[in-house]
Amino acid sequence: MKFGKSASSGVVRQENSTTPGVNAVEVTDLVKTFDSGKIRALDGVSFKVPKGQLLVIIGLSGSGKSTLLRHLNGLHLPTEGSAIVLDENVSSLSRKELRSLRRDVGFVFQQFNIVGRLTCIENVLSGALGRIWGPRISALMYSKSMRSEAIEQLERVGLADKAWQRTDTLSGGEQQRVAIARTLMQKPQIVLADEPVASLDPEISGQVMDLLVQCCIEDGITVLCSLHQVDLALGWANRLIGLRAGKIVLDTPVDESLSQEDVMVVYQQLDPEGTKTSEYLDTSETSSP
Amino acid sequence: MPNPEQISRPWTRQRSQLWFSVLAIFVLLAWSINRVDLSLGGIVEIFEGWPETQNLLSRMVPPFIPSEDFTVITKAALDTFFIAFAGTALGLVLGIPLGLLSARNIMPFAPVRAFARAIVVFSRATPALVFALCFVRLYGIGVLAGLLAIGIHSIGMIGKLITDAAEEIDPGPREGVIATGAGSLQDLYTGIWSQMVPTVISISLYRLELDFRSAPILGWVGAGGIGLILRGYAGSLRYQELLGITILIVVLVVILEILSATTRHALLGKTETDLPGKPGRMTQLFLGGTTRPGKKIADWMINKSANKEASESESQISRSLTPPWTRERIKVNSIGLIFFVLLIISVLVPDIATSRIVDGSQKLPSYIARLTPNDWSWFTDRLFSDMIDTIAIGFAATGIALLFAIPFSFLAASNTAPGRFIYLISRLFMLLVRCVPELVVAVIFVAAIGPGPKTGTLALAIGMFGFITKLFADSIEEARQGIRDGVNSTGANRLQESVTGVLPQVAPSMVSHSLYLLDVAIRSSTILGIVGGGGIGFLLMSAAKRLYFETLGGIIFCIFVVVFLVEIIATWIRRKII
Ligand SMILES: Nc1ncnc2c1ncn2[C@@H]1O[C@H](COP(=O)(O)OP(=O)(O)O)[C@@H](O)[C@H]1O
Ligand SMILES: [Mg+2]
Repeated sequence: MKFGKSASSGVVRQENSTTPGVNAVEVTDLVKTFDSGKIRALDGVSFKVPKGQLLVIIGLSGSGKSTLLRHLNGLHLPTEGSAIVLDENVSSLSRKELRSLRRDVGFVFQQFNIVGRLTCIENVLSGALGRIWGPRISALMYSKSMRSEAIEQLERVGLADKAWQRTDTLSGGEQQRVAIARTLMQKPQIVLADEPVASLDPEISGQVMDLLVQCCIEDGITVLCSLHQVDLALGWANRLIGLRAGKIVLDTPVDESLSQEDVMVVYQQLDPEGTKTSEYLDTSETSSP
Repeated sequence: MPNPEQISRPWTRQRSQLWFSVLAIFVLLAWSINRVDLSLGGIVEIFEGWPETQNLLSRMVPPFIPSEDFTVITKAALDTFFIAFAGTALGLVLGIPLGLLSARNIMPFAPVRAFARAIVVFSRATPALVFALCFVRLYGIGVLAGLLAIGIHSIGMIGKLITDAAEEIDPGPREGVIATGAGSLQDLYTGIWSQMVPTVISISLYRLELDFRSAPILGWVGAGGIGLILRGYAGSLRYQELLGITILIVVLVVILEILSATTRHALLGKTETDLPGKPGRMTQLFLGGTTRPGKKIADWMINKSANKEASESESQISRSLTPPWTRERIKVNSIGLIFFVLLIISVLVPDIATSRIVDGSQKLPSYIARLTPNDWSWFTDRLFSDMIDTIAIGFAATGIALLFAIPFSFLAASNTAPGRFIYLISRLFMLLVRCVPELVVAVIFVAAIGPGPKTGTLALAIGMFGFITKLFADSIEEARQGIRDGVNSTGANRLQESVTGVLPQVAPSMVSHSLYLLDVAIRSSTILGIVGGGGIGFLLMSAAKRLYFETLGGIIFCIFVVVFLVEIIATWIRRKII
């Protein structure tokens, strides 16, 4: 019962400073409800992420991982509380300011969210749209230096050969790599990745995850990544946050002292009174998009 | 012993509503057939008058195009092409922005959406020929009026379909673009438009085909092109020449149809798969057989393997900063170039004076003011009765067309036709019928049987028959083989198999296509009278000729109301049934 009690006190071992410029993300008492209060997706979430950290958010499907990440680049606005990203309060930004924040915050989606009809390079180039003014009708309308930058990013994800191929002719893993290249093209300070490998095969998942993390480390990017497979996270994450029913139930650095059991508290099922009813749920269950 | 309730289906509310609608439709059909004088007595009359009709018909053969008029006719035919081509382009230029502005996921402000939608609805409900009639007064006789008429009317369908296409896009990729910090125009282009491109190409080509059909008649009211010549021959009773020009028109429409189909195939044959999601109900209705799931999947698989091969052979060159000149790219670019050149020619060659555009457009506000009636004096008994005739013609023509189309479409569908030969013949026949604009048929029929609602109904029925059999045959071809095999294995013969295995599968889409047909038929019936086919068109034409502007505006308003109401009712029934 060690973790059941300590969820509110002991497990939160992370110490963070509040000086501006140190934290990439500061979330305070974040509450998000849907359907006019009927669904409480996030229920008072607070944490800080120092720059350069590699943070993994775990939790069952429906625990609020996507909702949390989507608050950090303004795809959702908080019902209560605040999300401060790169020292900007996301909910108080004008449209223009929000766009400029989004340039610094890359987002990798579970469903890739690339435009299948466009070529890979066009999708990667769309990552640079925030830097330039006005729409671009074809790849040739981007400057030459941008195009070579895009090829470089494709090179990093191993797809330079397919630059001029339509993206929907690629496999799922390749499409997600294109999406990663698009995010890198933004030159972001933070990358938010929402279950980036949940719709890929297990072997491919490992490769794509490695690639994402490696690129982000090279570029000194802060990473907040939600996953539901813990094993994928433990290899490289600095820190683990566990969500259950919209609440943080685990927040711990990843080091030798962290045991499998510590983590499994996230997957415990509790009955309404808060007493543990079963050890853990099947963690291989896929989450809904 | 099963009790009777198990044997007969229970009467649910929905079922009674359905049967009530069916009954109402039959009553309306019977009434309209009677009203247009095509009940038994009317048909007998046609047969009694047959010797005379035959006499008139025999004066049409052999069809003939006088060589001394050759240059005039060539010029008029080219003008017709230019009118249709540039008119469609104008429709796209105006219709696409209006369509985007009425899409809920693009324009958040409801008043802007409502305004854009209102323009689109008005353009759609007013036939091109009516616009032509008005524009001839404003911009003078000639190509310009026709081009503008086609363009303004095309806005309606293009705008509607563009809105549907935009609202159906996959929001995921768009979110991906927004998340990179793209601005709204960038989002519009990369996130939304690039997903819509195949649908937009489909819409444009389909609209072009329709405009090629409606352009030839515009000259009848003075709006340029071959219609003027048609009218000249009809007026001077030169029947051989009349038939000659008609055949020329049909040949031109067939050629253009084939060109458009080839272009569609070249551009979309491969990429049809990525029409985002399922095409919406309206898109499906308008485009009918252009989205065929079975074919789509096959194309998709071919496409996949083709692209794999391509990627392997091109791996060396693809690191360049410019796209490689693949076959696909060469093809798309050359088609684009051809269309661009055609557009330039269509705008420049007909020699449209800019001064006329400016002049006419300056007079537009005062012209609209003159068209707006101050009182109800224009609403005469004659007008009311002609309006009822118009509706009756639309209904009767739809009924007659369906009567022939349902059996015939089974002959024209590859999976139900009794043989390959019959199938090919039926398809060819269908293509030919579909390429005769119904107003041109009406011109010929008026010459042969004399003017009146009866003539108009028969002409319209032929046009509608061509239109609907294609839609029907295409949906029959989409019927799933599995169910038919099940029925087959019970030892059913071909007819039983069609009726039990195919009909239930296609019935919903047939009903929905039929309602769309009614919609189209009512629209056409409003203008049949311009060439003598009965209905409100006659008063419309005479009001325009005699410069009774208030009457003209009043009739346009009536047409708008009727067409709009029919569309709303048809949509409502369609939603109830599906
Ligand atoms: N747009 C939405 N409208 C209504 N409910 C939503 C919406 N997005 C998420 N939810 C609900 O919020 C809860 C958390 O969802 P989500 O953040 O997607 O969880 P996870 O990503 O961990 O699977 C779920 O109960 C989900 O049904
Ligand atoms: Mg999720």
